[in-house]
Amino acid sequence: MSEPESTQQRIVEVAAVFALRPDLGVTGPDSLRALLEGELGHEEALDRFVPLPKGGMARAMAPFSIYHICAGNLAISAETSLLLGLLLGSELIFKMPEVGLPDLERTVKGLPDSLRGKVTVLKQHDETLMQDSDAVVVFGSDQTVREVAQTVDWRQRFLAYGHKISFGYLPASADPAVWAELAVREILAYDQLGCLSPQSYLCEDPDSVPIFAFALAEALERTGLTPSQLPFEASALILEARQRAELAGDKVHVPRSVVGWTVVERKRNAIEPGPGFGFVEVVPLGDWTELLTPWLGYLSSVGVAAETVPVSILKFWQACGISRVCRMGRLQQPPLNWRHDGRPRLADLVTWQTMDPEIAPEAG
Amino acid sequence: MITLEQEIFEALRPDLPEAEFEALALKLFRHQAEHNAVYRGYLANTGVVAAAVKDWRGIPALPSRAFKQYRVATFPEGEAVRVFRTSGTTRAETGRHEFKNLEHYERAASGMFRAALAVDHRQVWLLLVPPPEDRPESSLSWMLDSLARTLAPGRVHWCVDREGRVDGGALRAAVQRCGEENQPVFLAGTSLALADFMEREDFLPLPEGSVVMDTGGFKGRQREVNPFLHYKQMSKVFGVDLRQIWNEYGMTEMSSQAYACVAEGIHRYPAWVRARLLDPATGREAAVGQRGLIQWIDLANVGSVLALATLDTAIADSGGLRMQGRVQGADLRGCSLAYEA
Repeated sequence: MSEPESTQQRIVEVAAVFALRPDLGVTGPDSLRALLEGELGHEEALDRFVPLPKGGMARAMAPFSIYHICAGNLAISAETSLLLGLLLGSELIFKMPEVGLPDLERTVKGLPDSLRGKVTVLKQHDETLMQDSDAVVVFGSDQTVREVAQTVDWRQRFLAYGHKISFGYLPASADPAVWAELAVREILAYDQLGCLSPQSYLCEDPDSVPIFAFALAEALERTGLTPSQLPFEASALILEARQRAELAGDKVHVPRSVVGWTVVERKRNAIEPGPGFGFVEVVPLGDWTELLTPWLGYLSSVGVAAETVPVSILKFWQACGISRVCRMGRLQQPPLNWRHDGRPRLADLVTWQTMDPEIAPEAG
Repeated sequence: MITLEQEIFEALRPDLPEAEFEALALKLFRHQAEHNAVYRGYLANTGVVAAAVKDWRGIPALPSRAFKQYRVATFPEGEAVRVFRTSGTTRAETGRHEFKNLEHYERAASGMFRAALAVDHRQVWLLLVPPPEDRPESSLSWMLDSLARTLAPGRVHWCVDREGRVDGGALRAAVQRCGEENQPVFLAGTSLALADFMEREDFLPLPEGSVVMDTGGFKGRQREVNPFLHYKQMSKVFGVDLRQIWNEYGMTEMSSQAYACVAEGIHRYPAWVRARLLDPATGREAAVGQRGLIQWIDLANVGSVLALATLDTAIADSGGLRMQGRVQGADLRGCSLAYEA
């Protein structure tokens, strides 16, 4: 007997596994309880009927099995899915990308037997297993998502996480030098390949552009970090993106060693995402609509160099699909209750059985 | 007094000595650095002083994408006699290459084609591309037409329909007629056109002495195509030895071409062209045997820019290039946009 019987037992086991992973936002069992309560209304909603706010009762049912198609650029997305799936108590299947995900495979291997038995890692896609799963979760390019979506049955729960970009915003009042220091960590995390990776920093005050770009370049240089063993393609795309910026007349800051980060000082109000691996642009912010319209559908999060944001800007961002706002420097550290692409991560997976107020469950 | 254009024209010959290439490359570079506004701006922004460049290897290469965004020319707008456009891949934007005259282009194309391929006055030309009157902005159509006018006058069949698709019926009929008359053919088309035709045709043997040439690779094609299997199938379908199949490397932004006999797999380029392979990680020349990004120096690009940076990759081999394909993700940019599952 290896399967935890109740949510509480799973919470304890999952918390023990992920307690040493602050990057996933787990700080202990209580953080997982809070997550369940926040998303399902009650931490025991998966085990028993719990009262609904305005009468009646409801019990959540987790998918029996969840089939994940993982992207090659980011292991943490798959690891988060592992954490959430284990918390739900579902059978979890992970189809690896061609390049593999060593971090995820290591995490799976390190699971205690009771949880390990719930997880299957596949090198090759298994269409039958996917068709038999209650839920399908896919991470990847638009094309991958589109292809998988075509094969999923409408009865299956389908969650897709495609291309997204994030950016930083410096209001006129922000001190560029101070915020540049904080921005460095979010730029370099995960090789800048995730949806929460900032591609651009938008300066409300155009005079801040060269100051912030210079400060960012200095701060990046001070880290001494250079991406190790960059794939040929990545190096080529970085070189090409630098050339493109030079062609446009933008100033390009690079490390003394040439290899590594890039800061482009743009002259115009436009977002042009880079190839990742520490490639960012600093943009003089002009008209928001003009700036964001080309990226509608692809916007994820904003890191703000301030403690407050005018409601008018927040409303506009929301209308543009921006689903998370945080302090600059914290883009890559979303809290556990973060709503990925604006959607709850557990609640989207479960199915509810509700009982009207005039009827109640009885033992037996 | 001989002009620079005339000097370059005379230099487009197979026996061009290294020293003459070097001198002309530097001369043309300085001319373009002065008269090509886009190139001049690029050099200024990258801190390059033209007078300080003393070796053709030091000539900065303009990213070929510049042709998609700007007018890359040394002569005033309105003086172009011809504009070729890039076909475009997955992005909507296409590039344009303007020519003040086509003499250099014609001489470069003809010189290398004649030197590389065993195509002479015997073959009937069966071309799987639209004729230039239908596609006046296609450099491939223009080049093949220009070559055919001198090498095969009156013996050319454009085997495509009005939409530019391969006309299988016309091709089969032409091959059959040539077979009956024991007349070898020169069959040329894009890699995509030939691959599409071979999906419908199992066996269409060409008469002895025939030559097949494809060009363009498989940009924009949904499924991946293995070049080895592609040429093996070509050999089988057309009944020709791999030594009779050639691949042309060309791009709208260049005026010269490179050719590889697929049995050997090494693209060779003319004496007026140099290829520099760049290690993208360091920005310096790739080590011997190492894959690098191709930067071309093409003297025939007299009215635009002679040094071009591309995202095509190759390994230097036996005086030529073993092509390694285009950088993956080159047309998808940004964040995870550059990465596929």
